[in-house]
Amino acid sequence: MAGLRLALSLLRIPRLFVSLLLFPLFLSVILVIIQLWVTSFAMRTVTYTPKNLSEQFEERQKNNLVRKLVYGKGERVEHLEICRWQNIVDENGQHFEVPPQNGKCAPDRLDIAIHVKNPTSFDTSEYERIFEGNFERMHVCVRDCIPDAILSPEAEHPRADAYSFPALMLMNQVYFDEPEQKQYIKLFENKYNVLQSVGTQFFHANGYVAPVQLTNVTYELGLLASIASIVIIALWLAIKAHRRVLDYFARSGALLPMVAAMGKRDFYSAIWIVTILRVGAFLLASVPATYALFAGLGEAEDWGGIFERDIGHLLLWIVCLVVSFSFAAIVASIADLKHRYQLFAVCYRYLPLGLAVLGGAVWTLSFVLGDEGGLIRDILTCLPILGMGPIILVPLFQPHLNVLVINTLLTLVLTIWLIRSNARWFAAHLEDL
Amino acid sequence: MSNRQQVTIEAEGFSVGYDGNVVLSTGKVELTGNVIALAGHNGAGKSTFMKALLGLLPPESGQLRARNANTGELLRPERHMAFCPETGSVFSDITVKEYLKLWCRLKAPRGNYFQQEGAELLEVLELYPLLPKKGRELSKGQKQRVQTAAGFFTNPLFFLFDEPFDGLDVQRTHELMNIIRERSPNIAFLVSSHRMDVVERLADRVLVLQEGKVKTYGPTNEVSRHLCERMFVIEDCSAPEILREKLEANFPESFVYQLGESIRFASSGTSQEELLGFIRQVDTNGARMSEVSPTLTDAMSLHLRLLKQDSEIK
Repeated sequence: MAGLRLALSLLRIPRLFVSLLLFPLFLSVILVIIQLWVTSFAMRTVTYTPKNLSEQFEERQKNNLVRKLVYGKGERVEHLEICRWQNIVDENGQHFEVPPQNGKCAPDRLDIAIHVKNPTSFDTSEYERIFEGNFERMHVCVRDCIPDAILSPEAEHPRADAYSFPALMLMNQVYFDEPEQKQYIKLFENKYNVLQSVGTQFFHANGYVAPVQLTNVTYELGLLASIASIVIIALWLAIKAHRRVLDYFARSGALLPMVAAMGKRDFYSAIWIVTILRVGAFLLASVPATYALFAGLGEAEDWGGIFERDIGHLLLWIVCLVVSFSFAAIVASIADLKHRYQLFAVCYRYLPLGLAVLGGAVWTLSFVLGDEGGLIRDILTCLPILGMGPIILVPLFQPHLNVLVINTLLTLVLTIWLIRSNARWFAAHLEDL
Repeated sequence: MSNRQQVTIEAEGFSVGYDGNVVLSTGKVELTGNVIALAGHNGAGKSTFMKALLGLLPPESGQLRARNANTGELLRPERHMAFCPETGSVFSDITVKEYLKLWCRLKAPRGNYFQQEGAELLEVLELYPLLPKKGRELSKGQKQRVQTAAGFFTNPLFFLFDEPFDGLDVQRTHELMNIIRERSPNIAFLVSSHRMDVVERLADRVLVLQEGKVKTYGPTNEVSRHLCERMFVIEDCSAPEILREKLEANFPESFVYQLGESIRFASSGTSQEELLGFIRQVDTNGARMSEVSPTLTDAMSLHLRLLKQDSEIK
């Protein structure tokens, strides 16, 4: 009760409410939204079929964002007027160039120009094909036509100069425009047909309950990335909340009087309550958003083999993931705190990450081995921290349940041992925190 | 039994340590008093003693606790004690008013307790001008005053002050002493300090720590006598400076200082005859010598001097 009172009293101070709850929550939700946006974009991109890719391209041709910004409408510009400038001499004997006086070639900054030695005979057909639809006029001259987009194809090193951002955007439409896109769609279609002919690939490796699906795993990868990022952000919030509150008290000198006045148990309860509030608020905001995204993407059959037969397997994986990341975060945090006055203290922070990468590398190499590889992978996946890589990939490479159980139990035992063995040190160095 | 609030500090084979090194080992202690002073050299273990009493340090062995001497009830830090650290404390980015309100919400009957029942204390501690200021705008002394007020608002039976007089000028020292004295009928105090002149006037009991161990404890005059067996005042000498120098050279295990025309000589082993014989040799003008009770300041000065000599020999 006293712990709850302290937590609520802390949060009633506006400055603390913002720094302990509101700001980190806002930041975390933004991170999740960005992650979800990137994931959904990536998933939509890699799940194109030739049909929907064509549809999307056609839609982009009708409603192009750049043209909408520059010209106020997204459709293709109907006709590209070619204006070949003429050289004339004035009464003082000065040479200069003028556009054709046909009423259609009045120069505009949003036109494109080509500087060549002989404007009259220069073959513009390739440039017409490229820029048709995005510019209204193409001026061909030696030097006097100077809109914001200028090409110099006859220079020693051919170049394109843009003198304004709209001109730059219009010039770059060439890469997304019809001729190029059609070639891309053709290539894509060929590759898609090959994939369709071969079918979904499965890799039968030793030690896994199901063959590993290697193609059409976009949804699994997306979900995996989302769950992993939510777990990582939640743990970051949890660990950071602990440090933040302790730092806040320690820096002001209020830590010892407050711990003494509240009692250690109630003081730490208050920190846990703040932590739970932070993580809880974050999960409340991010989990429904993630669910909504994935529910709206694809049909049930798109979810392939991801724990399709076993919800227990899915839950165990999430528990294992949370325990593993918690342990890694606690190892990093304790090592960082205890050795922070040493020269290479910052390295301790990345120690678990380094070990996880090492474990992941050995796990990957084990696939080139024969039957022994399965045993090595099982042992490695059972190990805390070293087995983090394979644990993250469990939705794809599904090990036996007992491997997940052993990893979870071993990690829990090590976490409890780590906290207990360091409790005395932390109690003795309260004010150093 | 005094009608003032008294506490008994009890220790039984208590020790604490960091990383395998024992930093405080008390042996057996039982000390009852109203204002108890903790004295000792830098690093003697005074702050550790306070933290241990507040239950902030896990013991290696034994126990250290405080009891209400009037009722025999065991004192619990979170219920009966308040603590003001050496540095004082106020969160840097909130105002003193918000900080005091936080403390009152937690430990006093109401959030605005400090502006009602606590108004007098705010006046005495001159905190009204500080209420709108943020923690980062306060000096160390101001933070100490704020934390002192926060401590009093929790209505403790036992108030622990870590070096409260450190860095205070004469006026502020006097004011803080008055605050402690005025509240001592209802609150017992444990005050750690290097300021023996203040401790002597304030405390009724003293506990002296030396290198993490209890050197001595008891009533102030007994502790002074324990640390300094003999204290002499030498007057009417013809050349006090010369006599002081010769005494210092000849009695290295003593503490000698000059106060005006007289010399004060503190020692644990020198007899009156031995000292008088030496003075007669140096000063033939008939200097007078009398034995007096040692003050705590003299006794601690002698203690610290001997300690320094010991460490130099080691």
